[in-house]
Amino acid sequence: MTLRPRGDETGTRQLLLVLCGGLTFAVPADVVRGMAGEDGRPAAEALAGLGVAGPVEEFGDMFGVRPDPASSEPRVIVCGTADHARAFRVDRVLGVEDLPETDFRRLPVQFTGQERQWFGGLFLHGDGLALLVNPGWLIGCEIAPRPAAVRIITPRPEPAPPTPVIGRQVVTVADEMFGVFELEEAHDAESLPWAPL
Amino acid sequence: MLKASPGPHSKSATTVSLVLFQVGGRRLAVKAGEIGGIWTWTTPTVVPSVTPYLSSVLRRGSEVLPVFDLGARLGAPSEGPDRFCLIAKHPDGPVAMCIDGPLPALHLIDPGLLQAPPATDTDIDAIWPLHGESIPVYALGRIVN
Repeated sequence: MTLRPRGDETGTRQLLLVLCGGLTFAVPADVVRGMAGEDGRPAAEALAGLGVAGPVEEFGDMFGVRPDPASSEPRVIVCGTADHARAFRVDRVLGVEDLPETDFRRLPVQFTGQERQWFGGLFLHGDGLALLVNPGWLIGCEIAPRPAAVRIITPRPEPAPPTPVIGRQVVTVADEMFGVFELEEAHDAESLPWAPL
Repeated sequence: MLKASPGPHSKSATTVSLVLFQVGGRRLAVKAGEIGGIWTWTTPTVVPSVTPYLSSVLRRGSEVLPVFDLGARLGAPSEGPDRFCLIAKHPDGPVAMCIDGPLPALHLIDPGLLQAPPATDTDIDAIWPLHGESIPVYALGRIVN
């Protein structure tokens, strides 16, 4: 698959359209390095060749969208730069499209949360809509922890005994690399992206 | 040049227009001037979101409106097979809301009938006693905020 950089001269943007959890997402082509594997399970060498150092991530996890378990055409797309790339599994790759800049519209202003960082906007697509993913956020962010889960930094073979604190559960862990730090249960699960879904 | 006053029997001077509708089986009302339209309800497109009660948008032709989950806000999800889409006027642009099937009805009432709102819900402008039922008159613009 050959993608060209954003064509500012023509007033159009090239996008890779993917399907995940029944939603259509558009990823700007200038951050797409390629696709790996035929069935959503690429070989490690293929990923390494595209600059991916970490594991394949579920694209839907970025937004709290559950992938379609019945998808018969999962694919892995690699996004990023030569120095830092991430691999995401999607339910299906719909294709590449060139769209005029005038087709894009901002997320309605009534949306005031983190979704404004996730999405650069949206556009009409077929009978429905597609969400334009913010490429900078896609490449640079980390997946938020699961609701009500302890944020695991680094496991230790011999953790220090827990130090209970009135009002919240705090565990003090000493790690030879990161020093002493505290882990606490996430209390803001309701504000995490997948809570309403 | 002086203009004749409407007079004591003029409806425009002594009535307030309320639209009565239903959400999740509960009846409520809003001022007619806060409504931009009523459409047949169609399936919205989910938008992953952390904004309370906003998690989808509705497309109607080339128009895209945010969908405010009024049922969730009121604790009474909209129900029924033949639902409608109420378009609320909002300073930031129109907002769509799903309401129950019975077609909304317009009422012209004496503003003197309206009672003070409860202190517990600042989104209610007044209480409208109707056939023994206390109908809350909501301020749609404040609810969406």
